[in-house]
Amino acid sequence: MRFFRTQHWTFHILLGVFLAYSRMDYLMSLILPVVFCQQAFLFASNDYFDREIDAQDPKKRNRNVLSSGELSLKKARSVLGILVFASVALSACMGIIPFLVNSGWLVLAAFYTAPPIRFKKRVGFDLLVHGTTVLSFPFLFAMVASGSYTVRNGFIGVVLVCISLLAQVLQEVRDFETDSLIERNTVIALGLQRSFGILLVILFVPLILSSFLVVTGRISVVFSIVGSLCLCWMYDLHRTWRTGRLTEININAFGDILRRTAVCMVPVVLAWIAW
Amino acid sequence: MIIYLALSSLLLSLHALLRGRTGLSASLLILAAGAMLVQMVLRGREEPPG
Repeated sequence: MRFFRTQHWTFHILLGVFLAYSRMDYLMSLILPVVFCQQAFLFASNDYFDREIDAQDPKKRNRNVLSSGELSLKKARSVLGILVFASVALSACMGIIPFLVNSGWLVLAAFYTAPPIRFKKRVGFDLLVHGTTVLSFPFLFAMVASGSYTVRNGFIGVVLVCISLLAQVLQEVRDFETDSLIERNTVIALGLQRSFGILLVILFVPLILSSFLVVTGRISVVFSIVGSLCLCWMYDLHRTWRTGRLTEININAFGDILRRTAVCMVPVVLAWIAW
Repeated sequence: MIIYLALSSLLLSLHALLRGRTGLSASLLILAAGAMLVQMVLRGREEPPG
């Protein structure tokens, strides 16, 4: 389980899948194991290909079971093979489209860290691939597998891709000093100041989209919470920008998100009752 | 934290106004203005004397 790093993704795959498809039936019994194998493969292959880089950092060496030597390379390869086989076989039971989407995603996820492509060190691609593979994919896969293409689901998909992009840019900003010595990514190529501009653009997309869809009545007023949170994050970013301590940014801290969400829910609930 | 209440109320007020719910929009705008006022008072108290 430490090789799969389940603590990083169990909650968001359950949330993602249930947001797209909430019925407990035969299809759900296939979707859940497939997304479990996908995420386990993503994190395990990341640790497999990054084992030498992680070994140089004392904190990452303890986290990566391959760098610390707790798991042999032969066993790791067998586990990765089983995960690929299981997800491909189960997705084939759902039909041709889920099978193709799953297979394409596995290739993309593997080459996120695997040489020679290694998307995570390619400027622009690191964000694009992270945005579509991490966090957002369980939802997108469940949407494709169940064929529930609605405006609401499209909106949630865009929001999840934006959250994934936001998380990646914030991680690159946080690791800016250490990563700039080892490799190149979008934040290192653009510099910290311009990366803050990218963060604002990423937050602007769900803000505008949620406002447009709520005002035109295509999604529930409850989704205004997305716009409210984006506005709050933009305010926090602006404040951090003014202080100049950009690498100390910590707007993805779990406690902060909970507090901010709770406060933003107050007017949203009031408006929802009155609407 | 109060500034988040003000910002989200402001956004909701705009949504309500664009949907033609002027009464709701005005109520939310008052809530936003109140929150901003409280935020300003609290920030004023934080200033060091002199």
